[in-house]
Amino acid sequence: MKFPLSESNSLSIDADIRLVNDGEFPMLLMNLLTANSNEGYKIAAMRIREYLRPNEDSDDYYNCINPGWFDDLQNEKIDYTTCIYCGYRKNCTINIEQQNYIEIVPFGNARIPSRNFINRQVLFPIISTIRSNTDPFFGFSMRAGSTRKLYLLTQTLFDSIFPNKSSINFQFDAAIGYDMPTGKAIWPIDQQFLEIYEQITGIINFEIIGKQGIMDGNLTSIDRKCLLDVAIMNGWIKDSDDGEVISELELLCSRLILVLKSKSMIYYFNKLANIQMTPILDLPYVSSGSGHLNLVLRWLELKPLDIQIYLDSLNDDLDESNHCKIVSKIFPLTVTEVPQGLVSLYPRFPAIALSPPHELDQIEIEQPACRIIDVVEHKGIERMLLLDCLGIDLGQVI
Amino acid sequence: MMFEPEIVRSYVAELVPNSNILTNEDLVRGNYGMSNDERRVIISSLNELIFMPKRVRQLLYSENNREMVSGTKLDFEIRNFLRISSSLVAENIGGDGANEWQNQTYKKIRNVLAAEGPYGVLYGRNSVVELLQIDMKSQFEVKEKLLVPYGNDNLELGIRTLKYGQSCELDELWEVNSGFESLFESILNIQNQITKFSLSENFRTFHLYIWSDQPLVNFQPSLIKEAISECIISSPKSGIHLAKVLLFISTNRFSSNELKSFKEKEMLALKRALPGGRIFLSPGENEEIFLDPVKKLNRPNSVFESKYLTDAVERVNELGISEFRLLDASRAVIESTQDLVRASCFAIKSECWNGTWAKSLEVDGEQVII
Repeated sequence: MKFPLSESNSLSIDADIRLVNDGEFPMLLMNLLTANSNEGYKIAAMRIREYLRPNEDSDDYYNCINPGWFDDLQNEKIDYTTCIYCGYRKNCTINIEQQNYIEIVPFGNARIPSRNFINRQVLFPIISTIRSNTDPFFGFSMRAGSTRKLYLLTQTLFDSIFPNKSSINFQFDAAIGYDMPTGKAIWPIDQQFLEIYEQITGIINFEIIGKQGIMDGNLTSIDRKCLLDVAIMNGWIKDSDDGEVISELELLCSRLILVLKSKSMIYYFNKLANIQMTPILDLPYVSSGSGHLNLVLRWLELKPLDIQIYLDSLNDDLDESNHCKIVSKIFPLTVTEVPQGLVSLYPRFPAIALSPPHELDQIEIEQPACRIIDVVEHKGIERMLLLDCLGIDLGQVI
Repeated sequence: MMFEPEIVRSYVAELVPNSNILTNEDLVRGNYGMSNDERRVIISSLNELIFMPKRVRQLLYSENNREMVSGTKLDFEIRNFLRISSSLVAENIGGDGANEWQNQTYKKIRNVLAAEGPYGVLYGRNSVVELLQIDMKSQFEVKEKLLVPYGNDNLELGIRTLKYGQSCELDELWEVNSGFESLFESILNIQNQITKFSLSENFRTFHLYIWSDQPLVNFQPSLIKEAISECIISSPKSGIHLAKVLLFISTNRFSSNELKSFKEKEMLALKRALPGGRIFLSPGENEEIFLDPVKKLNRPNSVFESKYLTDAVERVNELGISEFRLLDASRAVIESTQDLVRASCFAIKSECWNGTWAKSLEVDGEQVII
């Protein structure tokens, strides 16, 4: 289903407008402009249309594509002049391929509500005073105002494509993207960390992970407190756990900090570790430690396969068996393989939620893979999301 | 829903006389106000908070808002800077490439202005100039280069030498390279205009989403004034578009009116409120903390152990918002006793996440990833 973003302007650029030289026309236009109800507007639009319909016949004339809007059963031919003054020009899809439009593509069980509902309630709830409709994703998408597809899918399908495997305690307001292999949201620091990580994994093998010459954690007191907060937030430690678990976590983090500070890595990570990081905004955590600890914590969450590499590197060491046992228990391996060639990082898509009234309370306005910018009640049976996928073909993701 | 925009408008007008006060009606009519000469305050009902991110972006990025900068001296200086730098860039990549760079950089500056304000043009990650430090440890000095990046290259405007720990403004101590004098001067001119803009608080928009469970006339006037003042005048200095939710809630005792509850959409809207707000306590004149002389003397401690507070907690539970982030306030304050009213009530003020990234390392969600 296609919805024009701007008035139809491609009927015929060179077509002449017939001169309408009498006093009644301004009155008809005034009626249209001052109509204060939908019915009044419709009647005014019908009168103008009838008034401007050409009397004679010509091969250049054509049939209106929306005669039903005017209760016009005859649908006699009209011309460019009739169209240019049409009261519903902004909604008309005549020659839509030659103007900017939004196409709504349903996925799965999603059923597109009526054209009128989508037009008035979902896409353009505010009547525009200019010649084009304001794109609902204006300011969120670089492509706003241009022809593109929006995808409509049920919340259930969306959740199955982009499952939420982040900690239940995370607040996603400031998250910027979604990492497909781990099923977790990412924050601004993560994005920069992952960029550097991808850049260096081709150069350096993480075999250098190992004991790093230390047998006990050596975090600062601030870092220890931060680690404890994060461990509780992420469920890495439980009420029943003794102090051993946090000690082993400290040891793990201390070693990984040394990896980031090692000669071969420091060049890549030092700058990032030294920038200011605001908790909740740049990181998902409510407290922040040193830059290096913050990076290690995100590394643990976003690259769980490296924990396996770390454990493998200590496999033959009997002194490390207890440490390995506890670490592998805290971080069970749950990573989804992303097929070669497919994107693994996605931006958080802006979305408009369509919800039956009785399910409004179940809407999560900040989700790991999307942010809801508006909510519209509809009479469907299921919650749906209208997504602007920011240039990404959702068909390929599915 | 109880929403009385005209009453709120009168309070705002009294507190901030030079403000441009708008309501949702104005926005629907396309009247966004001109925020360059007056501080903009938008008054909305709580259920509009549900589409606040959309509204904020439309305000920040709309053509109308761009007029805020268009035609101003800052815009003139930015265009002048781009014109001069573009002619220098053209020497390296040709006229077409330079034109494209100029257009793209102008668009970027507009976005930076929208999201970060004028300061972001020359400072921060999205600035049009860059400082490159060359460490010279043996000489206890740092050399800095002033660059204007374009494509994969830079225009190198000048160099300066600083002692370790020496703080220095962006425009100080430069030895400007030959041929770059006019470009450097154009940057200084932008800097001057930014200073003028930054000194003006008027560049900011305060969007208030207000709800009350009975007519505002029944609430303590000083409570309303204090809560609105806290939203506008005492607001933190970060961000050029601040969205705040302000709830005026009554306890059940001493309320003669039937008290409203939140509708489903309003409850959903409240999810946008962040923790760390403020709770204003306003016990009514019939509370025992005012009638009992001992308790009266023991204020404010007695307020926190009073039936009034138990009533307030009960009312929060009754409204179903006890688990919401906005209840996780960083501070509770008690209103003055100068203008006590019959109704016992309290107000909750909380900032809402508007997604403009002014405080984070990111400018725009999409720009980082794609």
